[in-house]
Amino acid sequence: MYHHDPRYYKPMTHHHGIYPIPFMPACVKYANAYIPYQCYVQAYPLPEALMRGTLFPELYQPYIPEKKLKKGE
Amino acid sequence: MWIYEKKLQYPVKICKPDLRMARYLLTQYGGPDGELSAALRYLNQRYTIPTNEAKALLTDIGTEELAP
Amino acid sequence: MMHEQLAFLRQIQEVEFAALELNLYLDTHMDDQRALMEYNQHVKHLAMLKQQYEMCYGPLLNFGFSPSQYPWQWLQGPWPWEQVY
Repeated sequence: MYHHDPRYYKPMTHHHGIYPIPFMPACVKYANAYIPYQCYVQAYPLPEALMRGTLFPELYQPYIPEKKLKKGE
Repeated sequence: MWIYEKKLQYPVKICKPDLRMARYLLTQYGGPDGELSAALRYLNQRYTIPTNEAKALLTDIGTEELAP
Repeated sequence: MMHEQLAFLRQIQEVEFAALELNLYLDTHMDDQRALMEYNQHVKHLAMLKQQYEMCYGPLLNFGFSPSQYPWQWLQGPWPWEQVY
């Protein structure tokens, strides 16, 4: 397929006008590792951010043991 | 390159002594996969990383890992 | 440490943490204007808070970054790890 052809493959490059940068590269390749690009939409109120350990709701990922997860549902 | 501030980044509250937890924390802090070795790894990797973005990021994260 | 000082310190910690988070975000999103604007607001606010705090409670920095009243205030306790928050 055209966009999986490595000759046509372009990795996500850094433009200077950063928008639009896709969340993931346009044509992803198998057997390659990617990190989804963070999109900043909203911040926690500052006191809450300090307590949660991050300013960004999309990065708030507390560890919850499986046992507790099942109980909570 | 570094200065320190006479304050903590986060107000630490210790409610009760907990020896078992203390041992976990000690490993998390000083163990082979702990904060300290991560900090030093970042701060060493920045010398050979090619781009300015990565140099900044490694220095900033390395500092952040190191700082209480 | 009095309650008032601790509340002041907490506010500094809150603003500084927000600035730090935006700093790390900007390291990988250097063209995000809104994030940069918010970062700069925090920087300004933080400088003001720290100046006020230092005037009331002594220097947060040494090595030439903060002035001290007489006698040399740097030695004054409690040190950050001795404080009950």
